[in-house]
Amino acid sequence: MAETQPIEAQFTRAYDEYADAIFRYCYYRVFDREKAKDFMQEAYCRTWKYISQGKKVDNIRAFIYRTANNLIIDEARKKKHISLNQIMEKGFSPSVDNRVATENYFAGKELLKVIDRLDEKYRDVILLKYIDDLSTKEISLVLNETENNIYVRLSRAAAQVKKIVNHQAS
Amino acid sequence: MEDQDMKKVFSKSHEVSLSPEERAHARAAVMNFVVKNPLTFQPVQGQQPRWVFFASMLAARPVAKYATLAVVSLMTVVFFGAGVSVAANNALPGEFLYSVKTEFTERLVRLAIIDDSAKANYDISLLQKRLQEAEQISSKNRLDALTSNRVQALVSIHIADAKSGIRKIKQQQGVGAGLVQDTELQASLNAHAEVLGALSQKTTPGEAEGIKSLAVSIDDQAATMREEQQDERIELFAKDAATVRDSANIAMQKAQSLQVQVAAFIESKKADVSVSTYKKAMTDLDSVTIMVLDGKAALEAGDYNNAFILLQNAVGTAKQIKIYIQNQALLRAQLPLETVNVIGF
Repeated sequence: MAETQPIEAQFTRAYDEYADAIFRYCYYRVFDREKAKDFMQEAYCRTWKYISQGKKVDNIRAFIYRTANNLIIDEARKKKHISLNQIMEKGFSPSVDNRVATENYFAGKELLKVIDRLDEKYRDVILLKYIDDLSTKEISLVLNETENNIYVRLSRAAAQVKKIVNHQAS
Repeated sequence: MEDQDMKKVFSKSHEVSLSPEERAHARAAVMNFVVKNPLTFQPVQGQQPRWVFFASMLAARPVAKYATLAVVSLMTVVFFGAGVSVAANNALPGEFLYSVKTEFTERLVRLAIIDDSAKANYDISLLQKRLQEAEQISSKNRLDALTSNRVQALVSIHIADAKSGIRKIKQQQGVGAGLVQDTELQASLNAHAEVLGALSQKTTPGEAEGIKSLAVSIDDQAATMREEQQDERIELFAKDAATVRDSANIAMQKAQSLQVQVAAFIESKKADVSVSTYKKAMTDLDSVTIMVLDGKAALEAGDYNNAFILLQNAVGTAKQIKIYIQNQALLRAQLPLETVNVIGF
């Protein structure tokens, strides 16, 4: 937030640019559309609260992700994790677009299974890297770890994804 | 597993997104939060040459503007003495010291401003000040034909000065650079034409002519500006797509910033304006939000002309809301109750 335009305008732009991606990140963490929206909204509000107090934010995108991540972790601590099977039973709705083709629907289900079967420590980096297109440096800021650790984790996560995909194919 | 293969596996993930309604709803909630939790500190300005920063502050920031006026007033003190200076700054049209303010103090401040953009902003602020003063004395039934003519002459000078400054900015920095001031000037005239139109409904003998002639004059100036704006849009759209896109981007930044500021302003003045005006302001603010969202969508779709029109209209509407709310709050504090009822304030 170091540009010359008003802080409110920068924040509004950050909403317009990243809201969808933050929502998506939350969605693939909790598999619940309504909760994902709430987490996204709350992450923005908390970020603004922080900024409005005059505290410095160097990378607002990473900061919002980190806030959303913390919110989800807090929630997970409070409540028991809902399994993907329960989600499937309730009805799976990855997209609001009703025109999504049948093959995409199944592809979406398979994707959810891959994500759900990933270890928690690998899920984060995979979501941030391949779903939200964050750089390794940004992921390190979100997860508060060194870039080297992120590299290693991404490599191990890729190996696990391969294993899961091959297993599903067979 | 290769990076490309990983991307292929997760390629479907982007289908999960917010619907436009969900996005707008969540945006409104977040912006509402921003408005209710304003900054608790004074933001530090970006790196600018000190004099440009100083000059920009003159017209853009009321606190700094008054601080500068205070400095200039100090200079006035040397010539006229402290009492004269203070009285001149508060003088209204028709009063003896009014000329000291318009012919001396304000001209001196204007001369001290070097930056063209800051000078244009200052001219627009003077125009607004003149019209507010006219509205104030009209509320006290003191705007006779002679005073009205004097105000109209000053208004014409400020408009001409502002237009000349905006032209310079456009020549030096491109069309988009003068956009904000252009839209602000247009919005000022539109908003004041509306207020003066409402005020001219009260026909106190001896004053009716003055207020009506000023209302007509401002309405004409606003109509002329609208036509000029149309011509400028045609001129802009004849340029290359990148120029139009850049102008639309400038308009979007300004519109988004104003959207938040005006929302906070409406809430802060809620108790000072009528219920109908508050409702009108909220409806107009909704229109601004819709125009910003549509403008952004058009910009993303590469429809730069449409984006520019939508976002420029959003800036203009937001400015108008601020002006009519400000004016009504000021006039309600001064108008007698029967006048408030007659003109619907």
